[in-house]
Amino acid sequence: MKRRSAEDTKVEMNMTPMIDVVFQLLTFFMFTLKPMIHEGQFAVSMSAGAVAAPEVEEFKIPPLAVHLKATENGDLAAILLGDRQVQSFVDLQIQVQMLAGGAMADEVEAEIHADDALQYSHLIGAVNALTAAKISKINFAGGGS
Amino acid sequence: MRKKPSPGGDAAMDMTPMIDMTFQLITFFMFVLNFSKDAADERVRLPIADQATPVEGATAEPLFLNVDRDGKLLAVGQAWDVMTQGAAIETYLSREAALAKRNMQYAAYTDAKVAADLNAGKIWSTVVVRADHSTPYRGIRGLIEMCQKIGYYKFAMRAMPEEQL
Repeated sequence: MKRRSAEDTKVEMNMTPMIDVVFQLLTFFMFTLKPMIHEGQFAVSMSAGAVAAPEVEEFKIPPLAVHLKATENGDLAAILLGDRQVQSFVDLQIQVQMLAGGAMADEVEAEIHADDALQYSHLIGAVNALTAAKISKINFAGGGS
Repeated sequence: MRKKPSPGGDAAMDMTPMIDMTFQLITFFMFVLNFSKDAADERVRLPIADQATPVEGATAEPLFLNVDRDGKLLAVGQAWDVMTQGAAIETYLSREAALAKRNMQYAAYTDAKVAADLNAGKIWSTVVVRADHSTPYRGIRGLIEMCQKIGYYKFAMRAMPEEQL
């Protein structure tokens, strides 16, 4: 029997199904692509409800009270550091740095008292200013009117 | 001038560069695909805060609380009003807490701190608050208080370090 030459038996692969599938995959990945948004966060540690207060009274620097007053529609009406009004969050940062800056900043705790109607962005603005003033212990007190 | 007829008549297109490029594109899209959705709800527009620490890696055992602009908690495909549907939210939070406590029980065999936390009724999960920039504080406060009552004590408040286009 005569052997066939290599030229006669050359098999061409049909690429069409593979290209079809590859384009399907490409389309899927393109449509499901969600650009990664890098978020930031402020870590806040608060007491759990079940935890009892310590029995032994330790010496503690009193917390810096920051009051955020809101208008009826949730805008920021006033910022108070203790009982003194500050003009802006930048001003708050400067005042806090003057009061509790330097080595003391790690020891000092800030307590934010915000009105219930206040928009969340203003609350974060206050947290941002306190963080910029190197205050890491931030707590939220019950809301106001 | 007359055009010369092509010598072979049957011109086969070389597909190799196109297939190469397509595979490169697929590889790219596969790598940038974000499978861990982080339970981040796109309806929530976070406030901007330049001091917010960038989130690196995954938070261990997180409990995401997405709160929309109307003060509604977006969870398990529903929108719960924090002020009026507090009981339903508390049930949801308690169920999540029970799951976290079960995981803590396993870890407590080898970690004394986890065992102490478990005995004190504290839950190791971090509550990640993702609230819309314009949501009223009362909703957030309500949620935080509910979480504290259940035993959560670690909180993280999400914000955007810079404005997104």
